Amino acid sequence: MLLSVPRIAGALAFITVLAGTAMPAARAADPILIGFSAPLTGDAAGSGQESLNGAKLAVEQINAKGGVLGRPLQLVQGDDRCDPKDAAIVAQKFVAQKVAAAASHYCSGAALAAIPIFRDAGTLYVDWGAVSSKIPGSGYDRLFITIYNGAQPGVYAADIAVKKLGMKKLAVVDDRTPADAEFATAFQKHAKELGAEIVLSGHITQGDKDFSAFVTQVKGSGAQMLFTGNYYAEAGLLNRQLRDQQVSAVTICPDTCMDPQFLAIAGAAAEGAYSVTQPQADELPAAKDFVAAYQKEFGKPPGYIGPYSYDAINVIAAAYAAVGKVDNEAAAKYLHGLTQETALKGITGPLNWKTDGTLPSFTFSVYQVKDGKMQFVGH
Amino acid sequence: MDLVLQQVINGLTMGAIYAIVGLGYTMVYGIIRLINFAHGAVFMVGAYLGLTLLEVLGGAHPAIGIVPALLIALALPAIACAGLGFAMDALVYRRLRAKRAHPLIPLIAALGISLMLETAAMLVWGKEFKVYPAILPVWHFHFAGAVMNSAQVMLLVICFAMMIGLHLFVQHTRIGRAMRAAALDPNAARLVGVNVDQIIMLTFVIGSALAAVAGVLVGLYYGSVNFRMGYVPGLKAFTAAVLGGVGNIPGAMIGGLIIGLLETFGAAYISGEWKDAIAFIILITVIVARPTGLLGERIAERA
Amino acid sequence: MEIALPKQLRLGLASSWQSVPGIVKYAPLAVAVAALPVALDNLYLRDICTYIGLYIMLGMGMNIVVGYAGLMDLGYIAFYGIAAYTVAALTAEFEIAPFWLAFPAAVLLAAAFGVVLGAPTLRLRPDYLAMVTVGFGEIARLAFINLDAITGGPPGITGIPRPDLGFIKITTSGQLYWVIVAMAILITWFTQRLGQSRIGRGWAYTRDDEIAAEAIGIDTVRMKLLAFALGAGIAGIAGTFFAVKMTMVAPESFTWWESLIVLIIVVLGGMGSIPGVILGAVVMVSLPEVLRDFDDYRMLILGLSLVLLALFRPKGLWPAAPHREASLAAAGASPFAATRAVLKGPPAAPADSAIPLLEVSGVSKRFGGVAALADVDLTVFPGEIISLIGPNGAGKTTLLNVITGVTPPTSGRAQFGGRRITGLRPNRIAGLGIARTFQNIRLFGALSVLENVAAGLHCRSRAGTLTSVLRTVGQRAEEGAIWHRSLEILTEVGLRDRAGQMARSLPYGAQRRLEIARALATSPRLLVLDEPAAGLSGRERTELMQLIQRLRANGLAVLLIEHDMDFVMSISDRVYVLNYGKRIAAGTPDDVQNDSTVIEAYLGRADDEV
Repeated sequence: MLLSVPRIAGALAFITVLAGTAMPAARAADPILIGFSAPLTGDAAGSGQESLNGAKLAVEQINAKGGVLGRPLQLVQGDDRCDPKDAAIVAQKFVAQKVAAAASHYCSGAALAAIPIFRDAGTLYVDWGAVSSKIPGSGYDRLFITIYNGAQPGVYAADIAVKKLGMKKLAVVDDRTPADAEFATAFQKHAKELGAEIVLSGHITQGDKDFSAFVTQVKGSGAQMLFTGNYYAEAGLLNRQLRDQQVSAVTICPDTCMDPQFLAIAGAAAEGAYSVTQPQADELPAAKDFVAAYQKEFGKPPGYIGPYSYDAINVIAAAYAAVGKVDNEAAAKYLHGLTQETALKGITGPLNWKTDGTLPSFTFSVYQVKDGKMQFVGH
Repeated sequence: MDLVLQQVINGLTMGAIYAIVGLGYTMVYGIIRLINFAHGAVFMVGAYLGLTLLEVLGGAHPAIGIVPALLIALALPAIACAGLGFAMDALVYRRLRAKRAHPLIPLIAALGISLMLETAAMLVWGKEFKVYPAILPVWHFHFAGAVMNSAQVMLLVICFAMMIGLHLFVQHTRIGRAMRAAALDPNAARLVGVNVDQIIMLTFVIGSALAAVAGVLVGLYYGSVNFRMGYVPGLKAFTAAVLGGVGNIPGAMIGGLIIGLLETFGAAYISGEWKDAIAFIILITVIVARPTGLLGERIAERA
Repeated sequence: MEIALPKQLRLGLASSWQSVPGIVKYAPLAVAVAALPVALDNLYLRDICTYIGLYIMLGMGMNIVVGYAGLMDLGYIAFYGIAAYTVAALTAEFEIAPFWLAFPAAVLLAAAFGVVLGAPTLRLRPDYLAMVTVGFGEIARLAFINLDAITGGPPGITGIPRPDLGFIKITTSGQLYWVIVAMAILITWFTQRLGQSRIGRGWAYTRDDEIAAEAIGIDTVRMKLLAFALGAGIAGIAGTFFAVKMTMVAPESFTWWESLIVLIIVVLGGMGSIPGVILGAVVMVSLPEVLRDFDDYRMLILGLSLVLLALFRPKGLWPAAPHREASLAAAGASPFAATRAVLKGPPAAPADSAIPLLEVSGVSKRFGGVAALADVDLTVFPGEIISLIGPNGAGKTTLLNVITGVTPPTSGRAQFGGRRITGLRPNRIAGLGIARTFQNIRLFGALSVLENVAAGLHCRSRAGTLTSVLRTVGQRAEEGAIWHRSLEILTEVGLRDRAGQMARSLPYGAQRRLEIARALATSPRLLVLDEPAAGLSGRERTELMQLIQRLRANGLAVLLIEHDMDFVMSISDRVYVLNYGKRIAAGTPDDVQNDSTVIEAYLGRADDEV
């Protein structure tokens, strides 16, 4: 028989459980819920965990000071595995759980899938990790990004390479992920505009370990500098393999290389590598406290992505506090109204937004590995 | 020209890894026709075990000296993973064989095991990349304009030694003969008194041990490991096995080296973004044009 | 308490309930379940149900490939992706086509890729096919990332509009939900009906024993290709709605992992089982959601569940009902008034008994260095019973394999009914009117006796995919005729009572008879039997002899291999003797028995061969 009573009962029980998981959590002190969607499993789980730590730290600090409007913040986390479909489901779940705001997304595909759902629900959305220029392109007016966006790091790195460091022959590599592809393209374009020669442009695969084929090409190309639009793992391996083959090209990298993992993976081979990044602890006192608190909480120094998610939570808290209520329309209006003078003081720099939700001028600093440490060398 | 030579070295390095991992696939597949998707995960577990051992032994400067530390870090993971291979077979695959399950069922089980191993590794060792202690002194060897370092030389030497060793074992020992017989026709082998279940168990044990050694060598050479490191190399290693002719042990070795070389040259001279496709394009071409692989397969047609 | 109904009425109700199309019975139920999240006003639950709908579609398509046709496809999601990207490119990236054009284009393109991938690879062994499809899936994913001009590159394509069909606009995800529910029901219905039709049986035969299926005229390559194309097309439908649901496509959606999920849905639910696939989709979409709060552990739990499932529930959570029940029900319900005229016969051949029916000339076959056949000639006239004898290894079976197209000859040719058959595939040869049995019986063991016979009628019937799903008048008449004729043949060989049993469970002698019955169902002009009397009891042997003589009386020619000399000598019109691949004698039984070469080579040792 196709439909037996136990089977139907089982199915109904299942649906009930499923519906139950979507119900708002128990209202302890009527907390303000913030959705946090990131890859907590799968290939990008490392960065996802790192950003979760940053967000958790911010929530803890805010709650320790009495929360926002007398209410504690509560993080509702969801694993999106960087898969757009999972991200959409997680976003929908956030909406069902009645989160006020979302501090979410490491991957652009995930962010792009979630935006329509946040838009429908009017969720205040602060993006701390997904950097594709398609995200502000969505035109959602309650979207605020605490990280650089689109071409910015590529353009800035090209400026540094050509204007500051006087490099003439440049090579570029990326891993065909949305963010890095955009950086690499921008780097090439801008470096050419500045009169440098792009002698090699290549691609590697994220998650791969062996980039020796590309490294040999770098050797043959005679490039002085290599822009590595990659995550720290691949960037670290690239540096290592460059030295293995005794290639002299110096690497320059977006902020991914600020991750302590970069230094660990590349080891001695990292010496001399450049990284363009948001201001770090040595420059910003607020960031210094963050590093100390993070170290205390998680027993290791923060990775490169943690500060952005930390800022994202603080932005949400600041907005609600400023408008005196958990009202996304007012909060968005408030955040849009911020100017350079009234900008929020994030640990990654001043935070105010253009109408499309991007930072008007992301402040970059240049760091270089010296004596096994990332050290500030200028702007 | 020196660049071409360098690319050959690059290709052989990766190819040697594919070959060693591919051996595990081909031996198992040759007898029970199971694509043991968990094999890549065994490789990953081996790499992590080696890392933990080296850390316990004192990181980059082991108290007992470099050579003993290396030997321990290669041997113990091999033994542990051999046990893992044995357990997989005894707890799962042998039971499925006994039930004469549909061929997709062991495949699903293999996927389940690989998911479990990956997640377990993630929970034990963390989601972040783990860095191998730089235990080997870094020497560079130059010849004809190409360069190799000590870890790479060690990787190649050990991989080729294992390949030759396995080949001699299979060709010239009684157990090796039984393995070949079982691959040729398990039923006939059973009739002439070969304990086929034992042979299958042995292929899991040997294959897993080899994969573990390959994992440690990858850790030593590339310097970092993470819980997802087994998946893609595993697939490519199986591709290598098919290329050489499944069930054919020298075939897997040659197939691995060819895949490594073609992939390297493809990445260098065609395009890097399609690198992962190259192995599969070769695979599809070979399977369609010459389904028995380059060296011919050594498995029974059970039509 | 049972309500006492008159027996007549109860039977009437039962049969009318059975005759109600499944879609009428179950669609309201599905709609009622689908209405639940809407009634609860829970968007999250509704979204989950939307994805369940999409994965039911994917599962159904995969079920055709894996469950029905028994093929492995580990790159299935590529077709889903191809369609999703096609819709995205046409309606958003280039804005060159409205949805109602983009939708069929996407589905056709996905199906076309299925054919392109399948055509060269479906002849391969199943596990090789698995690897080819893994490769195809990866190549497709890399193409999505790297063909920037079409696919939008790494970030993909955003801003896909919701379907606008002119007269109706589906703008909200609530409306889209109902469209997806409707499509899922439709595809489920399609798959279910297809499974219980001539096409579905064709897949079952192909899956069970490809060589036997070909020998009775089933074009297995075509069946497999059809399964692949339909599976890909259904994935294309799902992909289209996935794209409009998400309003964006990105390469991360089409990973190997997604292919695995769909495969797991089918295997978890039960291969070939429609309710199983539905259950599988429900579990695989909602289990990760239920486990979402366990985050790090959920993949561990999923992995463990897969292993436990494989060990303890290998047939799935809701295994497919054995085929025989369905076919018997069909046989019981079909109008027996249906005539055989619906079924085709083999192409006409000259009935003149002076013109050879089968003419084999100069056939040689070498395996490596060994000559299995050397320059063999053989002729069969209409209505003749010809025996082929010779010691083991003489090449008798090889000769049958050459005649029936299983083995291509190294040189020489065979003509049947004046037509060259060398080089034709076995199914074509069977279609022309040569049917065979095998030395080591090759029945479709997991299917019913009745279905085994019906297999022989496959090449004499014609219902295609659409008519099978729609159950047109013609298709129903044909189905009726198939079952009717199958029962007739079973009666003829004395197996009528066992029609509903699984073929595997028959005693040996009955299996031999069933194999002959199956061959007869193809209405052959020449019946080729490979050791039909082997292992039969004395009585069975006599019955077999009588059967062969009866068949000959009806004008059928018979070519058989047999070691039983009494049998051969008493039944044959002529006898051919092979030794070491060469024909050493031919003639009437008397001639052969007195031939000195034969006596020396063979008959002298006949005793110790038994």
